[in-house]
Amino acid sequence: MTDHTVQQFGKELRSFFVLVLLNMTFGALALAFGMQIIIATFLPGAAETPLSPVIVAIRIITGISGVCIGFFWILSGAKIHRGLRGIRHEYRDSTSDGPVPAETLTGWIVAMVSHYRENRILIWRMTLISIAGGLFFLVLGIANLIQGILALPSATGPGFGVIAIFGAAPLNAGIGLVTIYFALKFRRYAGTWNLRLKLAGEGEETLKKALESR
Amino acid sequence: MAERRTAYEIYWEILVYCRTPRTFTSIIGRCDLNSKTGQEYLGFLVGRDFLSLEKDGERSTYLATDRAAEYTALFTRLYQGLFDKGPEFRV
Repeated sequence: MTDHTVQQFGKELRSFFVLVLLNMTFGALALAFGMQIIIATFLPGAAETPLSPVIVAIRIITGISGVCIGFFWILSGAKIHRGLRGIRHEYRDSTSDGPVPAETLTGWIVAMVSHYRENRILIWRMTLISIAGGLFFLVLGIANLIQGILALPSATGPGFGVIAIFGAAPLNAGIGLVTIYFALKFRRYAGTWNLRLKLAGEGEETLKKALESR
Repeated sequence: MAERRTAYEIYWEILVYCRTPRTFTSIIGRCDLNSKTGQEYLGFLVGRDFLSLEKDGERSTYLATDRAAEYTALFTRLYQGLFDKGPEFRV
């Protein structure tokens, strides 16, 4: 049982670690895009024609949303990453030394259960924020597409501005779709851990009986 | 710290660590407990015959009993069983 569980534990640990790193990367992208939108709104000469106040307001709200989502996303990822790092180091060191004793594996499981229990709400929020982040990029991509289509009739030819807008559209939409895909994976991971916490809670009754029996 | 781990998890950590004789200070250091909660946990385990307190002159040590092995085996089975089913994905 231990060997299979060690493999399962290692696979999950690696996947979760990568998911957290990806989340931090997407967070950084959301933060950067948000800042870029705000800066481009106020930068003189960034737009070919002066922007209407409604567009300016929409851009500022979108930019601030991106910055806020990205900031929270990175902070949450960093907190979860910090907790995982120690367990991952121990796992790597011990598995390279040969078979893992049952109590060492159980110790890692206890550490993971505690880590998840402590960060349960944060991880749940992170699944929501990563979906929000994915939607942010997707909306950005669709907005680029609409902007490009609207700019086409007034464009005299395939200028740099129009090409840039049409180039940004699939890029943003692609990042959005990938982010949502990983957010759903993250959600599945969270769901599995919620179930595990529930099972651990149910097992407490058995442990209580074992401790109190004479 | 204690909020992160349940009492059952802390009992398991203490019992596994005390497979060889351990002093109070080393137990609370290893299991990340303060003196007060450490006394409570150790008092409970000694009272239930999961630990024996051995005095060697000035030095007192705690050692896990045979009953402790039953608890740690049960705990190990339950917690390793949590990984029977995973999220079934790989990144």
